Amino acid sequence: MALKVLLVEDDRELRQTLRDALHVEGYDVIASGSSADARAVLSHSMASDRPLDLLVLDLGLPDGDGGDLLRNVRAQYALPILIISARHDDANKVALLDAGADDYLVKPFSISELLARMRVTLRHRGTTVRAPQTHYRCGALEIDLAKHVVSKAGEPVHLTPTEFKLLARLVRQAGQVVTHRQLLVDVWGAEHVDQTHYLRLYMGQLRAKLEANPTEPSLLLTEPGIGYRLAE
Amino acid sequence: MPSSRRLSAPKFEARWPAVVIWLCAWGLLWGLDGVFNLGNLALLLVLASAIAGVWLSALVSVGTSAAFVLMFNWFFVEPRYTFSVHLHQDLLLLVTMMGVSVVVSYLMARLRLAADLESQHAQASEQLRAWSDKLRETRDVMVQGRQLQAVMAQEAGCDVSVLLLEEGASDQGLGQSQLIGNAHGQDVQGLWACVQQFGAMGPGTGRHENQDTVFFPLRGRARAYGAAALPRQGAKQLTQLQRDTLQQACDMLGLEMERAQILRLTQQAKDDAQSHSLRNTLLTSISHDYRTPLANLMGAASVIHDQASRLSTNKITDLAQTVLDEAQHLNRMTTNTLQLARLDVAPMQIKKDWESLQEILGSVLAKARQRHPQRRMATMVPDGLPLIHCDAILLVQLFDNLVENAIKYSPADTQIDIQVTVQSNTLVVRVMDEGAGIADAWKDKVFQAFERVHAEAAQADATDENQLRRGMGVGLAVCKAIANVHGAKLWVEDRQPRGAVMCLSLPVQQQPDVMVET
Repeated sequence: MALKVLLVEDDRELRQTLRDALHVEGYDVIASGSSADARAVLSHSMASDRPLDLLVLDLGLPDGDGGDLLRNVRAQYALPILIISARHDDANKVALLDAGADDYLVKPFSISELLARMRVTLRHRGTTVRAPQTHYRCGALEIDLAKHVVSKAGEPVHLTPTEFKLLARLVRQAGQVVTHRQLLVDVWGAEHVDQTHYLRLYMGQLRAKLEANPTEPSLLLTEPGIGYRLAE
Repeated sequence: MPSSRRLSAPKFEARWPAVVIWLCAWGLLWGLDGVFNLGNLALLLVLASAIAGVWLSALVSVGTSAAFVLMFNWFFVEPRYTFSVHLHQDLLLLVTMMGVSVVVSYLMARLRLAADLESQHAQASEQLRAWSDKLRETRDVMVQGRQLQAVMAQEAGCDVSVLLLEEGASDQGLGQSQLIGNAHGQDVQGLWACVQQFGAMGPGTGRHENQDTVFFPLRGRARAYGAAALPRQGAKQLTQLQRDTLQQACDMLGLEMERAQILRLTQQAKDDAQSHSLRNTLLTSISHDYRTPLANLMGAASVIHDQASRLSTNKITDLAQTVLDEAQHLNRMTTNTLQLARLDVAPMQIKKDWESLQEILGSVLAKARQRHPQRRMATMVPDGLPLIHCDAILLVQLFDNLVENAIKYSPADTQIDIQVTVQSNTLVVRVMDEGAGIADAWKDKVFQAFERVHAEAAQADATDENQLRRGMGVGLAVCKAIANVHGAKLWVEDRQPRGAVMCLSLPVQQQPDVMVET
């Protein structure tokens, strides 16, 4: 059965283009141009026997901030949410990721980027009901969180406890961006939320141990100003 | 001034030296009576009168001198115990003594008055100096107004109201006004009239003498910036000196407000000029650099739209690629232009954090490789670089522009090298290409937005197309602006045997503390 996607975007042209493109990819798309309309669709659809699988949400809506809609949805449903936003609200983007958005995409973007992000987001299936990912494999790197084992090309890699905690946090959301704040709170604790330099140093150490070329990482990717993403 | 009243009418405590001197003089007179002749005794009296005059007012001094001359006549001049005088010499002596006593007393009193005035002037200028110090403490005109009110109230010993006009009184109107104090009715009207007449009014000022209230304007050089009112009880007792002092205190605030207004106007003019130049930058950007990609984009899109049925699939894919490329180009230019505008308007509003240069270069390269998968790029980044305190998004934009330029302006089969070196307290990043390089004449100009608009300069180099294109657009201008807000330096060097090197030196600050596990 086709996956059901709610697309909330106020620009008619872009909405139409995205809708057609998603349709071609086999998604069942409901398009909405306003916050009020989106709320109506959500409450109706989430109560039906075929609830939504994904929400693609634009931030600038004519009748309200997309951020408010995001917080409402996050409070009520375990629905994966992908934010699409214009570049000028970088700070807002981080706030939304911290508020529970699954991923974000900056306008202008290509359809292939959107489809890739949607696939990742869908695989994680929201944040609350998702079975935590405990096993990760990408290229030569293999991580087993349950057994506490990290190996590169079959060889075990020794990580310090903090390095392991940091890596494990990224593995749990592999493919998705995890903000600096989320990483600092989960690995070091809420009181260290401003110590971004901890992250820089430990990410540097992790890359030195796990990446072939630490300057051009292929696994531990940087999202400048936002956070980090473990490649899938 | 309360102090002046005290000085002109000395209190009892201040008179006791005079009393003592007179008592001593009379004691000596009784003691020396018969020892010296009358003329010598009289001189003693003149001396006492002169010295006692220091502590007495003119009237008291003359009065006591006269009384004591009569007493002298009564007790010492023959025949004694009468006011009649036998000898002509004695009469002359008495009259001379009387005259000298009066003159000495009068001179003493004048001297003291002059000294009083002098000390009042000194006190007034000291008060003005303290007031000018106070004025310098704050920029808030309301606070300054209240301070003036307090200073004047202390000086005149009554309630004071102050009217402030931030823009000053001008032909266009009176602008925004603030009233401090509890003036009402006529006094408020008086304050406004005083501002407009640009002169003091009320008793003792020569204008509207019949009024109860004295008004002082806060004068700037050409217009009044408000006025102060001293009602009834204070107004009547003011001396000329006090009025002058109060007027000077008011004028100081007036000048201060004028200075603040001039500063405001200057800043406003500066802002206007800046936003004007910004608008020009944006307009030039749109007219010169947006049209070409837009034309290409429209051309390709319209061909697909109109002739799709007659085109091969390959041709359509090519055209679509052109649309994508030009759209990306426009996107980059828009981002750069907006960033330049933002840095121009609010260069201080950037969000700095501890960042790793390795990470920043890594994400720049990842994006560049995505856009140009065929291009060879190599990095030389040493391990264990210090962290830099910067805005990561801005630095990514800076390096992204440098790398994109290097790719654009060097042959497709050559390599782009990115090298980081650590020098004392700086990190130097070099982005090196093997293109045509940049002529010395252009080495500074490439960082100016829209250098191309200088037609003659462009013409001179037009033979070398690369040179001309180097100077285009806002890419390097935004790089320079980003470098500036980070206290970094950006410059061009030549590469041997060929090519250009864009160099950025970033300052390294004191590193934050981190506990590192092993």
